[in-house]
Amino acid sequence: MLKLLDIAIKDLRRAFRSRFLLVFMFVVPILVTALFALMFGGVGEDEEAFSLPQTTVQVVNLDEGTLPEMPESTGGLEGVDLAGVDSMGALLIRLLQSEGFAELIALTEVPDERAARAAVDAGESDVALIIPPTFTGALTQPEMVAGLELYRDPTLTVGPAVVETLVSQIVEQLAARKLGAETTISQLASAGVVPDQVLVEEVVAAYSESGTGENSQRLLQVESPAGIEQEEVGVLAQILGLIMGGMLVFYAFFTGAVSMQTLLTETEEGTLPRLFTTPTRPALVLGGRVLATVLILMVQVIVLLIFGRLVFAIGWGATFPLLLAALGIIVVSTATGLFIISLLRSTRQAGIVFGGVLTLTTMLGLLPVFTAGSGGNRTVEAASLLVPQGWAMRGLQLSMEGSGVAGMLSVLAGVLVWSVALAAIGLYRLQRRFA
Amino acid sequence: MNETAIQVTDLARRFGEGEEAIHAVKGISFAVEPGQIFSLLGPNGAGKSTTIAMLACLLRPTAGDATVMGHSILADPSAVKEAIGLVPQEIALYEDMTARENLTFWGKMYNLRGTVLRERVDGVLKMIGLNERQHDRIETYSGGMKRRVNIGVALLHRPDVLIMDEPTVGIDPQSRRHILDNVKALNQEGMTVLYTTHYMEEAQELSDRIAIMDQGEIIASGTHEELVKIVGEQDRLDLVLDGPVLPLLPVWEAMTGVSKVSTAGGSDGDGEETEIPEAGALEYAASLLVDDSNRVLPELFERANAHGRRITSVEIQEPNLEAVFLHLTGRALRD
Repeated sequence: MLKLLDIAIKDLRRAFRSRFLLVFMFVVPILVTALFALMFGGVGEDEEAFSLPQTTVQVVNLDEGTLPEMPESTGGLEGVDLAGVDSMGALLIRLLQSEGFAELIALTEVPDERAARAAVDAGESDVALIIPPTFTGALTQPEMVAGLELYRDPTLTVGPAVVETLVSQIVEQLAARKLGAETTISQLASAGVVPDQVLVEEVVAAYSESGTGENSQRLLQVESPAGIEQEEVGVLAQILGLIMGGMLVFYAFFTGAVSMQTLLTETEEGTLPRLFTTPTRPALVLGGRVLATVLILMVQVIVLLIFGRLVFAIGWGATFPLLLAALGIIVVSTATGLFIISLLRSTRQAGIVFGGVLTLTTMLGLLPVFTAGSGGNRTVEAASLLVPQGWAMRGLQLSMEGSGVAGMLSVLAGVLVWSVALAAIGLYRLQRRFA
Repeated sequence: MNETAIQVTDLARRFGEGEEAIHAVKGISFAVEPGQIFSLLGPNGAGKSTTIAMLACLLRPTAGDATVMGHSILADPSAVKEAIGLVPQEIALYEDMTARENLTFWGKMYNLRGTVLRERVDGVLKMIGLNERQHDRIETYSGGMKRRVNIGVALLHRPDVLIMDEPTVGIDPQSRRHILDNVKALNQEGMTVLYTTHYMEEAQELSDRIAIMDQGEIIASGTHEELVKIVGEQDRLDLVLDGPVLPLLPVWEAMTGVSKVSTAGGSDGDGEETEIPEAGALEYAASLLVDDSNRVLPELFERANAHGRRITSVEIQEPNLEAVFLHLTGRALRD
């Protein structure tokens, strides 16, 4: 057993004297992340350095409808002051003026529709939002319809798109309540109850208040796992987290393979055959190499995680899930290195495999990172899980997304299955070769 | 004490199968007594290194067996590995580690620990003359210094049998001298040495017994004196001509008193390798085994003249292992 440690320590010493390995273990992943951080405008300060531009909106509220009096504070629209809101148009404006959208939208109410359009034409405003006179009626009366008008500067893309998305989502929520009221009235009618005007108004009022009134129910409640505080992670830190996480996984697999490659290098240099002329069992020689690889990867992963946290303010997630994700990366990288090297006969072959197969499979595994901005494509995610790198990255992503251990179990199981399968094949082949 | 340190019996190794199989070692047998220096002498590709690899339990023989200090390489390889110290032909050291780090690591692989290990490392560093540079990385050493550390590794655990596979290849005369002196000193302390070389002079200087190998077989074995007797009183002539020698070979070979003719460079007789001639120059030189050089030489000149060639250099050598190899194979040792 002592010999196993002796071999591992020898390999560790040699690894950390190799400039080539050190550069690929630490320098390259940090450099790539730093480059991205610079591209996005800064390191560590995130929010101010990276934010969407504020869109100026002139809104004309022509809504003539009326709503029952709203309470000042509501459960459904937390943080939105509804005092004085007397129509759906006013409600829409109040929602767009809420604190959550303040960084995205600078909203000004103007009385004149023509003036609002002229402001957009003159470049004084990015968007003009015109709320029609029948807006409340369209959202509360069964048979009424009305359309909002969004007048935008055609040269702008991001700002108007943001306003359009926000307005659409709010209006869709409000319209859903009308649909609910209509369905209720229709059900009453089919049950033989002919609703009079008073009943219709009561039903509509009840649905109108369902998202805003005192009786509102919060249908979606977002909470963190017990005992884990939600980290406040900035947008830049999230992006850098994905990039550096990807780099970490990419170079961990590279390190695992290069570290195991010393079995080939030492064979060619004659030190491995010489080891086999000493009274040292081949299993110990192999075990020492595996232990060294695990330790090297451990150092690499820990250093990169700490560096990412301290320098790039990356929120890697809670401690325990992160430890599990990191352990998964270390184990599956070692097993993959073992497997790859067991298939090769020379360092020349290793160059080709590392440059081709390992790079391509890692790119496949990291596809979700590259396509993170395109809305989480399920096909891409599924494809990435065809390779062990994908599982390693998924574990780290889950940790970054704040998942608890329970939420990571299936991914950790995947990592374990890959690791056991690859290590078993690799060890079997190498044991046979060195027997 | 065992009667024999190494006993090799019908040892064979084949690479590949069927008609394309290469028979690197073809059922050789020999014995090395304790305290002897035994040399395997032969050209490159003779099967020496394959034999060593089997004795060091790196290669499994396809037939036969061998024992080292009474332990079978097939039945008890662990005991064999404890008993031997192998000096491989290539430098098998960690170049990015210092000499001391290398020796310490290899010592641990031979189960040495603590004070004993430190003392052995100190002793070996002193013996190989690298005490001053023990903390320098191997990659900064000269070829000769690396060779010395390469040998030092095999001595750490004070093996019963030291196996050295061409330990002086590609090094300067000074380092070679140092190594040969160390081998003799170790032998005087009682260590058994199995030494392979293609340098006739090394085998001659070091060995108690020599086995000459060629094409996987031992073609002769015995003491230096016993081997030289094989060629009797024959002299070896090394001739250099002013043009290609090939057309003259059959002419000379047909002469009375000439037993073997070969084109070759070969040894210059003082223990050093012949300087490599320019391209094509080897075809201008020939080695001959003759019964009486004084009688044959005038006729050799005449025949050369008759074919438009002039002999520009003649060297007459006493019977030696080169001559034995030439006599037995018809080829010079370094063909």
